[in-house]
Amino acid sequence: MKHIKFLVFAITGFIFTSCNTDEFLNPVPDTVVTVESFFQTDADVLAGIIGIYDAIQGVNENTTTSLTRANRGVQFEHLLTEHRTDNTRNKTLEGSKSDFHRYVVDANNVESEDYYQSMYEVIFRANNVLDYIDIADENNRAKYVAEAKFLRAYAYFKLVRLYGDVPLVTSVLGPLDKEALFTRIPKAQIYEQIIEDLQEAINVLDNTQKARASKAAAQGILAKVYLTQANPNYSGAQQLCESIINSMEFDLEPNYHDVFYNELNNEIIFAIQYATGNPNESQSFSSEFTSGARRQGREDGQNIVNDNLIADFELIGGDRTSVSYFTFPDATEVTKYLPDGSDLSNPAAPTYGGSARDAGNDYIVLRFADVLLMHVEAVLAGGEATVDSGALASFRRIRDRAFPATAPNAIASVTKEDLLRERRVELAFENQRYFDLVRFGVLDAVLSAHSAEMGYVYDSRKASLLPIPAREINISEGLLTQNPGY
Amino acid sequence: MNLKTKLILTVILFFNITLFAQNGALLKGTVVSSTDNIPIPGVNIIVKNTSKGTTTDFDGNYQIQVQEGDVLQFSYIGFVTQVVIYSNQKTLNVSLVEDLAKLDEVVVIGYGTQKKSHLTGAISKVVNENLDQIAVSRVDDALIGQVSGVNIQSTNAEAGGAPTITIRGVGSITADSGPALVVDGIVVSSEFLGNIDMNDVASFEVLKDAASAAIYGSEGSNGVILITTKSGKAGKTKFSYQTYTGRKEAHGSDDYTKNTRKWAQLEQAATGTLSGETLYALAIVDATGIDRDWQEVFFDGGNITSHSFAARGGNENTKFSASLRYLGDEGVIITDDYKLYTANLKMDSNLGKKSKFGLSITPSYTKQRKIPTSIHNPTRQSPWLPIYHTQETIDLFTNGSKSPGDYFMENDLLNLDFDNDGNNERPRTSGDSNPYAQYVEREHYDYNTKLYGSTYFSFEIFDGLTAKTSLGVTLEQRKQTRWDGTKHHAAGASRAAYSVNNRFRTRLVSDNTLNYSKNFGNHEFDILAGVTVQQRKSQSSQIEGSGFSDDRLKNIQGANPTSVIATEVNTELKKIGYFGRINYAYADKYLVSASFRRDGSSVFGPATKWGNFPAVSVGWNVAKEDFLRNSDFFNNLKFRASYGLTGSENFNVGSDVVNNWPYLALLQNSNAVVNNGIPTGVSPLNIANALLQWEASEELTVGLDYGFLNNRISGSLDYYQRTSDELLLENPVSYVTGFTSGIVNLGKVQNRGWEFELRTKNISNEKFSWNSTLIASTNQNELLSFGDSNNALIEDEYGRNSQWINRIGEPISSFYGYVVDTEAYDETQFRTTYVDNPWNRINGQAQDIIVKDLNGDGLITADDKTILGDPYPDLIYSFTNEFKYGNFDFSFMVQGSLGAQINNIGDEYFYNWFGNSTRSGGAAQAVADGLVPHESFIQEKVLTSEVIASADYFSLRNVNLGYNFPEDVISKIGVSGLRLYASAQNLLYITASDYHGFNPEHDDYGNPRAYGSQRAGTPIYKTVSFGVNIDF
Repeated sequence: MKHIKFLVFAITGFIFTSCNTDEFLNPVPDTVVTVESFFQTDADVLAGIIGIYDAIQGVNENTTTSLTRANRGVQFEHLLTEHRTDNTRNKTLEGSKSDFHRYVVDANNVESEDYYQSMYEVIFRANNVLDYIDIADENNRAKYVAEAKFLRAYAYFKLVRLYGDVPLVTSVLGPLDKEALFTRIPKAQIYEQIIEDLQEAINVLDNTQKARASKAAAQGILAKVYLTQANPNYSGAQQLCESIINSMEFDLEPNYHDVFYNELNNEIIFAIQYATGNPNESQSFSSEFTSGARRQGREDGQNIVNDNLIADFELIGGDRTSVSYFTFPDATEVTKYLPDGSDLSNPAAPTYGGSARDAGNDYIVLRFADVLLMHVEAVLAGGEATVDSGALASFRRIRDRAFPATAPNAIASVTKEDLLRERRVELAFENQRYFDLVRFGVLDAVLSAHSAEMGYVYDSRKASLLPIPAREINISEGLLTQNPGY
Repeated sequence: MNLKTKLILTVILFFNITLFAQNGALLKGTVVSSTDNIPIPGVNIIVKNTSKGTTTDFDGNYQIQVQEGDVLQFSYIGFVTQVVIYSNQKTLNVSLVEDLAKLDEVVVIGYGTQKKSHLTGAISKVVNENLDQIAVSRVDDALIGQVSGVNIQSTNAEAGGAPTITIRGVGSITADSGPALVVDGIVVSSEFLGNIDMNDVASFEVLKDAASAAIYGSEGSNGVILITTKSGKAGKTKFSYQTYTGRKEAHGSDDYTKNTRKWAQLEQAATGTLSGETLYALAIVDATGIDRDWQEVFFDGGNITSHSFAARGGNENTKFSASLRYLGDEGVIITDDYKLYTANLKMDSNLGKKSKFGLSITPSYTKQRKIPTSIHNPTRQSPWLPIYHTQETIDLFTNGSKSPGDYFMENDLLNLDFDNDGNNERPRTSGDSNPYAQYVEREHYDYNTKLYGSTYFSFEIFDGLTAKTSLGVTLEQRKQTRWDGTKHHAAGASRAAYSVNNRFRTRLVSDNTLNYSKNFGNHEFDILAGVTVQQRKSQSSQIEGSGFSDDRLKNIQGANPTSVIATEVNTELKKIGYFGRINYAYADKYLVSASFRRDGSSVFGPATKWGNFPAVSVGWNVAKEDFLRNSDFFNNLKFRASYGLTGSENFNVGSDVVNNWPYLALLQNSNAVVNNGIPTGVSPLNIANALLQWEASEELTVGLDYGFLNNRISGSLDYYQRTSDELLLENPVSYVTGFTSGIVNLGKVQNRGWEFELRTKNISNEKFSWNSTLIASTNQNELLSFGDSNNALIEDEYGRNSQWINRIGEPISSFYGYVVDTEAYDETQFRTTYVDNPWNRINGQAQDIIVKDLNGDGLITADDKTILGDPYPDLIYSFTNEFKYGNFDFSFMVQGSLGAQINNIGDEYFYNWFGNSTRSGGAAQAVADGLVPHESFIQEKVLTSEVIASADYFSLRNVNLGYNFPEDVISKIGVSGLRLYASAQNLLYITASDYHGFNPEHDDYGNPRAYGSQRAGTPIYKTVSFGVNIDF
């Protein structure tokens, strides 16, 4: 008996003294990989590149496991763009999403902050992949770099137009690099970086992809950059647009409806893709637009169409009108992104398919129609009107699709006003209107009139720039400055 | 005798112990205290060298079978043990002398026990006398008000919901602030508090100061609750059956009641007319006859029932306790429900004279139906809204697409012109669906199957030196199912969803100690050395899906396969601790205790893996000094001082993997849809911090224990100051880094306060006694340093601008916002003041709300925000009175909290402060109640002083009335104890006048960075129950 007891002790004691504490106290995670162990092959670098596309895709707000504050990215973009124009508004005045259309966003606005964060997440993931680029196969390296830089430029172009001067980082920074993280760089310098990155993409990439970076996508976005920057480069923009047009690789879809419901069609140059019914890879905005009477969305309804826009559609909408929106008894709603299986034939009881909240409709970043209209804009070169035959031809292609019965439609000249209205109607709800108003230099004029019409108190400072998120300013210890009006 | 034989014998003993025949004469008697002649219940009486034994009942009576020459031993804690040889007398009354010399109550401390008189730390002991008669579903609910310095808050009052326990204030911003739990010496998950049966608990000891808790090192930084479970006693096996059944009713809110007809009267009075919406609502009320507040539907009350059966007994060598329990709690809300089944088997056995072993196994199963959304959601809906359609409502108000029995939803209503103004409209409510459907059509269940087990083996190597090894095993299987049915939302089947999460957790704890305890004359030593190894594993997987077409399969089988996503997360946490302690007492007067613990944890990287946690404490029993020894006044006077360090490695940043490996750079899946396929993508998950280290708490306590006038007045007074440094903090970082936060050690928080306990025996005689206990604790929380994160703001998750600030010199996570200028509420004036300010909001017609221009610069900017309060009480108190008259006893406890604030945005929801003029009712009533000047002046997105309410409460927490049947009556029916009682909780619960919600203790998130936020809260309830305890 006595011996057994001692044996038990001896064994117990042995177990704990013999155990290698170093090994014991360093368990290795088995459901995630560590950075150290991951980047080994070309495929691993490609996975890093795909990770950047994941960032521009954003996280569906309806995913049950999603965090309360995460990268929603483009899925919130209509709030920051369409809502801040005369195109659309929020259905109710509840919550921070309802602040955009009344120009009362403040520096704590959740969605504006999320967007800022989302774009920097894109930039970070791009910069991060560049650190591992040497692991990639030699013949893929330049392509991967071009892709990462294209996506970085995409994000900076959104940031610089919505927030003005922003911090510029082109490498991975830690939280202690406060100077770089919190210093706002003048817009011109941001544009230099964007142009440099896009030119590299143009030089390296081809047009084999529509859902990943391509030469035409880089050309089209660079054209828009040229038209947007403080001293527009109209001839550069014109050349880029003509290069896309003359490549004959893209064309307008004959039927306007198919542009939105036939994914990656001929007209699409670059789109962010989603998969229906997949909570991780789908988008929430489709359901938010179909929610006039809380039909599908989380909120009470976003992108509710203003009468002012309906008036323009009635003027020049043509075939585009019925595709773009639908008037229910209680609200006019966007119909360009109806979820799979939607049926509006009974307006009293519309249905939206089985996966409305996990919609798969792609977000179109750049399509051929936009390039045609940018072509006109480049030719117009800031003037009031143009009779240039090339410009008129581009403009007519848009008109002829909208009004096929009267095609070819006679276009004698295109004024700046014509072009702006055409873009408004053709590209309605594609988050273009806000940037168009800025480029055309009519933001204040249009929006103050709109505010008067709607009874909003217009604040030109809030209309022209969104706030740098208050939390960024707060943790910057005075390094980061706020935009005027906030 | 070899071990095998011995084990077999033990088992045989275990099963046969009740079968031993009992011979000889029946001896009866009463045991009283020699000081006051009051009977002592629970005195242990054993016949030496036999297995016979008994204990005295509530009246101090006992009876036992004896034979001439038997040696009877009477023992009770705090009294001198008496030995009497039986010599054929019929009755034997014994008078026990109080052991004033020793005051020998034993208190459980970390890895051991200590005489209460020798304690130098701040340890409170609660003996389970009548706690098991409080009809609550968890043991921690019953501890409210029992211990000074311990705040137990009903932050989640649904059936089976766990309260939040804070000992001596909140010391962390990201780390867990809950105490560690140790049951019979084994560290277990604090979730065990929801599984243990109060009837099995003998006592609780709460280690409040760092010096006492430091022996637990990294487990002890927020205090430790030690639970000692009941053991069997040598003698006849005693059976007990304890049951109660009660009724629970919610304390609703009168401030939030709604009534359509009342609204109409208010509107008529205010405007002289009725709007189309109101007329429409009245028409619905006329058609259905339903005009009631939704609180009436949702707060339906519920029953609580408990059955507990136990058998305890043993002989001098082997003692056992076995119990079985069922508890059913229906909760006070329509769908919440909780069921607990638990059993316990505990056995201790002597193996020869020098070694002992024991085991304890507690399997349990709980099933909880959780409320699917915050209760404010359904209860704020309009009173005219019925649950179901009838043919009449369909004909009158809809386009006919509904059928009788369908849920009635606002969306079903046609716009109609009730006021004949040419415009069609309909009344509004603000739900996405029928409120009833929001709860009934969603089934959210938590199933927990758990097993807690421990064994120990101890061996006395030589006199005074004991080696002990013990192993604790915790197995926890949790299945959470979340079914949202096709009818729960207005949008129908497309909103149906299901998820199931399975988590299996294990925790193995191995403790190995050597303890040397010896007296040399006046010198008493107790020396401890040990090593503890702990391993925790968690394996969880989640499957979720949507795309349901109907409610037939309420699980993943009914989901559209393409919608199904699955995730798996495994984590591991391992720790090793080495510890030692010396307790020394000289002549019972001078007391010193010193301990040291060194902990290594897998949470930290190689450079910072180990942390050291020393502690020292001293005490001086002044009453034992010669100059007081013969004092008639002082019975006890002891000064204590302690200092210690504890640590913490637990934090929650929302990712279980990062919580366990914060020092490694990890990758996450970041797949994307590209060219209609979904290729694999990755992206960084965290900012690795290889230098992350232990959060350290340093605590100083000075205290005084006192007892006067024969201990008729006794108690203690403590002052503590706990400083938590190197806080484990999820610190926001610039978004430009690509991350939102990184885990760092930053900040220093101090909690300081007083703890006061006063126990008095006001009246004490044979027939009647009255005892009182007053417990009061104060706490002040202050952020001492916060590096470059000083003034860091944290915003709320509601998408509203509720804010918390961490500012040096103020409590952590204080509420931060504007101060409402109530004097400026004059519609005509404030249109012209503050022309250029952010409050020109609602359609530019009027100011939303007038706030004070605190810095006087003429503009309302972010600089005009100030600290509006904090969610931590300044004072918590309880006052208990116990009366005994003959066989009756009566007790009550009043308990309350003062000085905390609560950010209750429930008002915004219930009064519909959303500036939407189409919503009926809420605004009109709010105006009538004087709560807001005008609906359109309310800005819901701004945190103002108007949103912050006092969280003070005063409650009649417990009332208990019991009757113990006299022994001569019950012995005829063959039972040894019979008690009937009635018990009530929260019969009275008074909240501050500016608080309108259901529960000022409620907290929505349990997140220390956003603490004290709620949307009205899950309601506080009152319970009235009746119980019977039978011993036989």
